Amino acid sequence: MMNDFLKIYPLSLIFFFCLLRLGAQEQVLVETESFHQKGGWVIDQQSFPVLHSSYLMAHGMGRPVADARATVKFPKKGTYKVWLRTKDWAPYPVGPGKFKLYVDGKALAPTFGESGDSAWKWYSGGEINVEKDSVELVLQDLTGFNGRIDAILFSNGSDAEPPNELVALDKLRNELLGLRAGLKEMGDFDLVVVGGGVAGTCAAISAARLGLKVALIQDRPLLGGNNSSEVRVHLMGDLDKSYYPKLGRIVRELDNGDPGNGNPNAKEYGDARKFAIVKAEKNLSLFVNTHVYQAETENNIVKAVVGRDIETNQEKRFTGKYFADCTGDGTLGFLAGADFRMGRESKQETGETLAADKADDFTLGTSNLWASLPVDSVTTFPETPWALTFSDEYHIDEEQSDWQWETGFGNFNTITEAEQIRDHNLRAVYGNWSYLKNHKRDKYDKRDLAWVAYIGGKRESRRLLGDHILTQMDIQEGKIYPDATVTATWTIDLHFPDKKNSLYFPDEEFFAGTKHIRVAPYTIPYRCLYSRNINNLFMAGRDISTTHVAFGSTRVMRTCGMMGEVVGMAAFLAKEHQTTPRGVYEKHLPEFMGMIKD
Amino acid sequence: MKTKFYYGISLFIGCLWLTAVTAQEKSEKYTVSEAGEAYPLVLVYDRENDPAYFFRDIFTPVCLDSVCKPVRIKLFWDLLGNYLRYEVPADEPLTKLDHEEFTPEDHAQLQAILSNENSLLKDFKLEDLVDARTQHLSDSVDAVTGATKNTVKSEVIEGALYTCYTLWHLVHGPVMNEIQKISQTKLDNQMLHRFLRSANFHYVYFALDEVMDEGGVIREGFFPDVLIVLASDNVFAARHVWQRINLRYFAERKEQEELWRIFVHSPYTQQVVFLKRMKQLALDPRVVRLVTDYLPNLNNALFKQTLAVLASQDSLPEASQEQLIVYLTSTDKDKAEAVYEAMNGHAQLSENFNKQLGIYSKP
Repeated sequence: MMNDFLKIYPLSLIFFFCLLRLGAQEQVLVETESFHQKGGWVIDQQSFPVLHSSYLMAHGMGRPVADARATVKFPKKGTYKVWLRTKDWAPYPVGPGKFKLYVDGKALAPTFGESGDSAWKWYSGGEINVEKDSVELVLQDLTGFNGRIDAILFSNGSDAEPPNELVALDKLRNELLGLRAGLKEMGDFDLVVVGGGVAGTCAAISAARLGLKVALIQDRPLLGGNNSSEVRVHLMGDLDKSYYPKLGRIVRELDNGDPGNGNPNAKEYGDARKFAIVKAEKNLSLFVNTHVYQAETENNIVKAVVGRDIETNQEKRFTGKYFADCTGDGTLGFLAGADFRMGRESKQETGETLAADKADDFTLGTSNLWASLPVDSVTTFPETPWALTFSDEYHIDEEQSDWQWETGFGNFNTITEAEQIRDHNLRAVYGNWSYLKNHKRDKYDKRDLAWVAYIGGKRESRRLLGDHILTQMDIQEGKIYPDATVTATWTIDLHFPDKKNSLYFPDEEFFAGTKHIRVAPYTIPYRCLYSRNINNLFMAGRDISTTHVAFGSTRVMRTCGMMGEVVGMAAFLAKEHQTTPRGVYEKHLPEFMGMIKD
Repeated sequence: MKTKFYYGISLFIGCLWLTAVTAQEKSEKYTVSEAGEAYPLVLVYDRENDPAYFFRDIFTPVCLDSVCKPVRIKLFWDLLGNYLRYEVPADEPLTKLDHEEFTPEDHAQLQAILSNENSLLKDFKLEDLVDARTQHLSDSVDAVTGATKNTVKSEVIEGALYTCYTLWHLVHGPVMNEIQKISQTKLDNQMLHRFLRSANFHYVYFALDEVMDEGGVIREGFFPDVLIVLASDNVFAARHVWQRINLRYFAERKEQEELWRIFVHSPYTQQVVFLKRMKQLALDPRVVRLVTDYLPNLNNALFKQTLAVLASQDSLPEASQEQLIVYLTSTDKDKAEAVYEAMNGHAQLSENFNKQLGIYSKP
């Protein structure tokens, strides 16, 4: 009976197109990411920490994407006021992200996404008359240029605008979608790894192979993070110079070869390989599409994390003995109250010659890579007045991007302004491509955009602080501490805005330069891989305990993967001896180093 | 390195003579000496008898150590020494490794390489371009089996590394200065007018530097040309002008109207730049009307910045004030609040405006 019911009504409909009766008022909230047919629309969860929700986006690279559809049940027939939560993502002065909403085949009068206002808020869609138990909703993209919509609210009995303020909005969501009421316990684990990039995947595999019961939670449908086909950054950092040859074995398994950055062929990045390796681990449970947004702590110990499915909005709770923050952003550490640092330290503070004169908020930026491919016939691309403006004097004459396409640099906060960063990258990519297609026709007439990343490849955000904070001196002096683990080889590679780009786009730079400071292979102490104040929290990846300068070298993905391998081993020993991550260092270091060296 | 052209070279202009190349085109041939060798550099005039471009015929060995191959090519520069293009004789094509001819794609790539004034080739010595550990020379100088270093791989054509390197340094070498020196002797007002109206942005900036001093004061007779730059598609040049031009040129109604016309037709980013400085202008009442008439076309961000321009005026015409009052009671709360924030406390408002500001209650 239940199975039949599921066949008829997909899960998303059952759980999340819910209603609430408030006196005489009926409200139906539809989260667009739960539309049962997405068409060409994609789910974007990157701004969850800001919006507390995912949303749907029409990422068509300038070609309208296929319609998204949903069937919504209504509690009562009658007239409903319709509200859409959306924005104009490029209001310069009016953005291109235009779309229509159809209710039972009839378009609502307004065209959305062209308000000239970049704030997420509710827009009136007028009124509809519901004459049946359910209606069909169709989102029609009009441009292919990243129109977006978070939710649709149907309301009778009141014309009041729904709340835009976050606390009230959370309350509305929770009540109408039954979020917390539907929370599901996912199990109790030895190690809960949050973040399924290269570091997190390696940590989970490493621990699972040592017999720990492991949960790996990833907020995208794919594994690999910046190395997945959604971002397409290649793996860097050498494995063959390791002081301990045992480290790097799992990284090697995940490594699909080097297709460079932004390769137009998605398959080059080995998504399937990563899945297959993880799925083969019997002790490892994988939870994709789950964004962790809450940590339950007690006496500086993480007891559980709560995540929300970025598509169905199913709430999930994971309890565990140890947790690993492999989120890149240090999300779990932040939620749990771990000490962290963001931005640059001063020279005076760290004694590093490469540190900034004054401490500030500067971080390396985020890339949205892109590539074009040759096509048989001449194609066109529209003018993009809402994008960055280029001219003969300044444009980037490239058929494909590389790492230099990067926005951030302290102009934007890489966590709270992740959406603006991605959108700035898109305005640079589309504006430049429009210039090339319309003004350099000899070269670009027969080329089309093959791929543009809508998921940002983030380089830097929070750094969680451990018992040791790795510095430039540790690196350049090649210090080998008793707990030396991962060998790192990448240069100290601290990007800055390209000088010419700064001249033309002051405070709006989207193109980077760097100066590679070469280093001899050096080691990262284990004490950089666990939190100094959250007693059961490990970290691996770019958010480990380093200064900004040292991070410039540790941040590359093969190196991050090896950190994951080490965390897996440490978690195993911690469990074995019923101790903390710090306890492994303080009481079981010889055994731990034996594991790494063996 | 034994290539024969550059570094530590003293240049001089040799003899000069005029010659008619064709019935339509006049040209002047200069002899330039470089590293002890003289070569002709030709300035070609257009049909209006204005200097148009330079070219140089080159027959050069491309060498590494003692192995050389000849390359025949014609290189073109604009009047400021910026590289334009090249031509090769049909019967003496450019070749790569093993005498393979350049493909159309190779030519496109060579043009891109030579056009890139900031190429990595600039900072490299020829011997740095290949990995010394694996370098082997074969019969052809481009046939180096050693891996071209990754850093310059995208800056050269595979199998034609030395050709790219040699030509890039010829194009961006001392000849650029030589061309600029010759052009300087031709510089007159007519050329500056031409430059300011040119699609070549190098010419535009060069002429702007000539006609506009540090205080943004423009040489007599050039204001109309500078306005053309301000209104041009090149947003960077337009921004350059607006950030430097002395605002005394926009003290009168006529120029203010022209400025507003340019504003209305400019891209968004340039409008933002315009508004930042427009606050310093005392606008004619009729121009203020143009501004308030245009308010409905602006998004919230530009609306606020434009209000700042209006708020900076000592007084506003009655009609403009009435237009602003309407926003105070508008359903668009953002715009209502913006008008309130900008105009509340302004010293010269009508009684009605002050009354409406008093009634307005913040959301």
